Amino acid sequence: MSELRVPTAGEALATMARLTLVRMTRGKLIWISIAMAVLPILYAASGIGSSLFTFQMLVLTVMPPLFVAPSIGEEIEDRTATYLWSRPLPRWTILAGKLVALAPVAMIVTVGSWIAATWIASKALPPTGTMVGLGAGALAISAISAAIATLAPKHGMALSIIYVMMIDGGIGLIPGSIRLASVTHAATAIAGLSDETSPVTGAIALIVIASVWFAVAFRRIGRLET
Amino acid sequence: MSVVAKGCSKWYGHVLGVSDIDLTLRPGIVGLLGPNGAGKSTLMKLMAGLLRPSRGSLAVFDKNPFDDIAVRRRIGYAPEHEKTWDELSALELVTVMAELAGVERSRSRRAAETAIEEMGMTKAMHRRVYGFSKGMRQRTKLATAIAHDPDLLLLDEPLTGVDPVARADIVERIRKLGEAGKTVVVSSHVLYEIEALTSEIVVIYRGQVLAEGNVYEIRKLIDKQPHRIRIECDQPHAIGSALASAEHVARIGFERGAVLIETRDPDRCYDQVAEAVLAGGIAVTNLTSPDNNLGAVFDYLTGGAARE
Repeated sequence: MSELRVPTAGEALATMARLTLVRMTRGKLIWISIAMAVLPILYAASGIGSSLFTFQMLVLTVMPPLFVAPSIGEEIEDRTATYLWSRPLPRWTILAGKLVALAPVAMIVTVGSWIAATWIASKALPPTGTMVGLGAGALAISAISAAIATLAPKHGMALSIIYVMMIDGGIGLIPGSIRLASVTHAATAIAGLSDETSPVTGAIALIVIASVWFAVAFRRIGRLET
Repeated sequence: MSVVAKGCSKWYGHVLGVSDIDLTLRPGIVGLLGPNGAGKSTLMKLMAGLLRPSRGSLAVFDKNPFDDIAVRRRIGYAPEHEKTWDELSALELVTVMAELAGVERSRSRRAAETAIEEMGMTKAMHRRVYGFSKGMRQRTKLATAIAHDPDLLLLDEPLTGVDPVARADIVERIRKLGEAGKTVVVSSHVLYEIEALTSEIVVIYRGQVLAEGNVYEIRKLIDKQPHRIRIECDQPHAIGSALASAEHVARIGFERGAVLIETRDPDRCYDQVAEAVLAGGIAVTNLTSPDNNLGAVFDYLTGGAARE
């Protein structure tokens, strides 16, 4: 019998992240996401430019679900997850590996698109706060997408986009402290573009929201049977 | 013991997967036989640690495979479904599976190459899985299951959709794994597939183990059933007439160029057949007992329900 070596959590996480990135670069979604990222640049180039951040927020609501939700949902729906779950790994490393690979990509593409669009519109870099807001927002929406994909694997991406656009966006429009439960509002606050909420408050709200969704995702992945 | 199940049941909501399974598996090849929906895949998944028993227990090498992560290092599982990560080449797929099973990264590629070679896939190992035939996919799946050198192999319908030549080759490779001292559990709903691999079977039907053991031991369980003898000859009616009045004969049937006798006393029946053949100068071309075939055993045990 071979030695009973099991991968460490770090090794499992790194292998999962590598696997996820290789699959992503060879799939179609990377091209769709690039096309999405180009839209704000084209919008900026058109010279309209006055509501560029709002337009970029739309990209933010789509980009993380596009990367994260299918990667998790298809694994469960196609039952390829059985290959992973039969290995000597804690299940959280599988989800964490995917998030470690994909959430930064979603952040980079979203922020990169914002930088390029702003540069084209004003020949200057965007304010740091807006970049941080969009990056943090992408991370939080990745958490939402991961959780929704574990709850509804088949329609994870669509439901994530609908949730962020309709429900989260709706919560963000409600006056008072309840809007702090909205990722899009918190990201806007971090960007320094909210009259009512300070960037620090927005950051705290975002951490809390993302933590709740991460907890849902990790709890769900640990209990799933396929 | 490799696998011990005690009163193991699994429900999916109100749907029964397996019910009150008591089972002990030792090293060697064991065939898990049953019709579609019998509970074979559920039992495999319980053994692989993918499912948690709803009631009772199931232990692999004395550990609960759902909760004990380390014991899964000793398990190799090839699921029934075809879907894998098609964007990867066979070598990439098997390598990453080996790494995730605990093989060190520095050794994983070599382990994958060896597993792929053992499954006869060396020539195609740099091709992406996307373009593979069913047979190639099955071989690749088997390679992912063996790359980390597990002690318990769970192969769920490994011969489904495979052409006859590939089937013979895969059967031979699975046999070698059994001869190497591993516990190999192979499920199938096709009787001759299991028969080609092993005489040790577990018959599962409607979520329950109907019988387990050697096919001949299982035959003892069904001794109340008549033993069937099929004689291909040039005068089947002459043999039928000679045995028609024998009290041990339950039924005589005729097929083209053959007589099928069902008897409760096979030894006496064989003697009387021999006497009839000699007395009548009958030319016998073939004499078989379908009861040595798993198909007959399965049919008996399920009362024919599985084939309906």
